[in-house]
Amino acid sequence: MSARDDHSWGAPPKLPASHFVSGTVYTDPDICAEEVRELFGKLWRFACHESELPKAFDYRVFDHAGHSLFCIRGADNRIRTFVNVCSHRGAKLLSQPRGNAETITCFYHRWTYDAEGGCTGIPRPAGYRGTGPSRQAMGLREVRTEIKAGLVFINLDDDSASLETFLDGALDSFEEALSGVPLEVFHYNRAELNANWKAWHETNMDMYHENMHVVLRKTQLNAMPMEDRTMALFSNGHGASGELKAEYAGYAGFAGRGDDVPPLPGLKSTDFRFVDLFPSTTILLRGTAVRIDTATPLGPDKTLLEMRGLGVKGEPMEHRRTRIKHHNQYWGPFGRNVPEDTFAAEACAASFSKGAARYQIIARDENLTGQDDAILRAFYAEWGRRLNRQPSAPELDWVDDG
Amino acid sequence: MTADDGKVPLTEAVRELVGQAALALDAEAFDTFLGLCTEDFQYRIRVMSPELGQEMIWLEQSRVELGKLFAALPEHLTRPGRLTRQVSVASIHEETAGLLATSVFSVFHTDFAGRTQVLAVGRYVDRWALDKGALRLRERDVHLDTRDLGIGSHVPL
Repeated sequence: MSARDDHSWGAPPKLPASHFVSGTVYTDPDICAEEVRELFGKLWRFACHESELPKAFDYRVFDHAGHSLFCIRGADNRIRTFVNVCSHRGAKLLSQPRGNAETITCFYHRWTYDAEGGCTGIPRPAGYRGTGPSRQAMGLREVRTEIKAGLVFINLDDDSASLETFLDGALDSFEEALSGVPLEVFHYNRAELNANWKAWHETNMDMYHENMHVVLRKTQLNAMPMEDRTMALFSNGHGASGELKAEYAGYAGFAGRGDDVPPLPGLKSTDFRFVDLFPSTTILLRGTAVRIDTATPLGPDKTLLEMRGLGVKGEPMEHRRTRIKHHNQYWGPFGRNVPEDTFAAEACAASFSKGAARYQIIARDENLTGQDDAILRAFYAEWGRRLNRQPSAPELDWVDDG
Repeated sequence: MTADDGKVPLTEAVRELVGQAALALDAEAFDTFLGLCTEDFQYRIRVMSPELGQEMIWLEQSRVELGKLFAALPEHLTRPGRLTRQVSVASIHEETAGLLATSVFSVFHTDFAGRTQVLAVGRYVDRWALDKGALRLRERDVHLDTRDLGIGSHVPL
């Protein structure tokens, strides 16, 4: 056992190619651009929760794959998604993050649209009589939208498989908790991290970094040993934990958590589970609280992290207050858990950005128990297939070794 | 109104205590900070979300809970460096049960290399009460304007 010189440090680990990742995947601007185009531009992705659009004509604006998009609930109650761009000169239509608009009017030349994407008004249509543009042909660019368990998913690729096919059942064990009672979003925060989006998402994909978090050491490691934990892999790069347990009395101030508000349907207050949806959405159920987070690449070393917390719609105020407290104990910008994951993501990014770190090891192989790196390997296998690059040597084409 | 010695106007005393509270938090002298608070002290961080169109609570703690939170900090992985609070008391009004003080604050983060950045800005809305002859903080609502806190913070602002 000895320290390594630069030659040894920079050499690929003597491991199967599927068991390590090159640092280049976190730093190369061309790879990042490919990810935006081939992953975010072609795969289903969580956009918002349906409760964010409670009434007809409510809309929610967000960025995805370099595009500004908006979801809007129509008069027919259906949620649709459109590229937030006027058909006329390309001006961004909606600038507020949310609102209500039966008619969407472009500020620039007053073209108007309805909530189904139809162009309803072109000022001075007579001027186009000889040249062609008509309202019928000038609708907005619609984006595929499907809803599962209250979660609104969108896909920019008109030719991709259905959401159900893409998910491959990864959300099935979450469905009762997410749709057994109506939920609504009570927490939203966004933060720009100085890290690659995958570095953040990795913090959601391995269970054994739980040792880093004192709150998890004291509430989860004590409740369920890693050897007793399970995980499941799905097609298309998704992964999920099995049923996990927490004992909240282990952390000062958390005793009695869960006795004061009903757990979500199908869960006990001490239950915990998560699912990672490729490429970068994670849903965490913690007995009485839900967190949904998404990571969006803003560049190889910059990530937009968005986090939502959900409670039961219409629940009594005291229950909501308690549920918010439960959410905030772990999550949110002042939670005991999240600021440590973001710290870890930035710490890894700082090392890879200038080449101090060269490779990441994902070689734990423990029969899909708690300390297995299998979810990470499944993620990077899917990444490699989609980009036709080997995660361990991204300058080489993907080779599927099964 | 005056403090128990009858000499210092309460408004002046509040102004000084707001500053002392900031210095105590900056120094991570959390026992000193809690010593400025009543036994039933309540601390909240409130944030208006334009995305949801509603106010959110990002942290709500009683004095007892805050004490446990502070005690656990050394075990946590926290943002390296130190925080400095710049607080300016903007108004003080008498209420039935004490004084309501509104202050504008900025929190700066200085890293180990000595680089300083603004972490957050907002307002403290404090309720001060005479408690056993001394002015103590009974309630602090932190109205946060900054919503992107980067990696976040274990330390209340």
